[in-house]
Amino acid sequence: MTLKTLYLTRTEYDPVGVFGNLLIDPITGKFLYKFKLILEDLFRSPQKNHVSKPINEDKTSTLEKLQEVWPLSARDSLLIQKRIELIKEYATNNHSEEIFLIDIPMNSKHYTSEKMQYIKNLTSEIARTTSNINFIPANDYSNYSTSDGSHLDRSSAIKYVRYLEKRLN
Amino acid sequence: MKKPLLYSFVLLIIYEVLLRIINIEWNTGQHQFNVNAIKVERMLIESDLPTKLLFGSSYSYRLNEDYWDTEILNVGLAGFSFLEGLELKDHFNIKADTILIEVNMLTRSLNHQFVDSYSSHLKMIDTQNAIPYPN
Repeated sequence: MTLKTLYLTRTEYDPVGVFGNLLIDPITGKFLYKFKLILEDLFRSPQKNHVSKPINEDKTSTLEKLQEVWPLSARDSLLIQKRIELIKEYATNNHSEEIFLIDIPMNSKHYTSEKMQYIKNLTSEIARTTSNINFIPANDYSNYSTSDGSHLDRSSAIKYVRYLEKRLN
Repeated sequence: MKKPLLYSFVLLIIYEVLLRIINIEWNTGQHQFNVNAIKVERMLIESDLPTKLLFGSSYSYRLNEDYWDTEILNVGLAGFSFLEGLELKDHFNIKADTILIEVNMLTRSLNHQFVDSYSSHLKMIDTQNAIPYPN
């Protein structure tokens, strides 16, 4: 990224800087509004909102909640089909581009879920039937670790990028 | 009670001054939407783009460009899917040799508000530039 681009981006979204935003809230336009929120947050009694739980209990409940999102419903299968058709249409209209579909490793429960299996089956099929579409399935997903039960942590992301580059070449 | 406020105030001023004087070479943002905006604007504004583009959601977002040996533009948008990036790429006819599309998140719908915020804004700039100067 060039400094010019960063500067343009920064000035467009944050014209008065961090300190300025504290004085005049860029969204509401109110004077010292954000500062008031920060102060309220600082002096709020911790007993009111914070319920501490053991780390293990937290992790399990989060994973279970996430797992509930992943079963394959009729709506999901229809949406997935539509997206795959859209990719196919895009590939047909852009012959000169080589398209690689990638499934990024994530939590093993998700990766082996019904929804992901369905996605992988459809993706393999479209790659087989369309000349400029390729599918790169993740290698051994159990070798990767996540930072939040879903997204790859830094070392695993680097490991996956190495694998991906090898497959792309 | 007064000391933490005073320290916070001084630290904020130092942070503000640093932001304005140091030569920033890293890609960062203050929040998720800000980083998404930086990624999209790089694709739309920069002239010498890499020929490899990566579109996806927060899963792609984690595949930082610094991790790659080859040059790649990562348009993995946290909270969205590949649709927004690909839609904008197609709309502005951005050229690429290789497109990587993450298929983990295929059930999210296109966020029209996000896409329109760029297309309408840039259309306006194009129109302004197209107006000839008076003789």
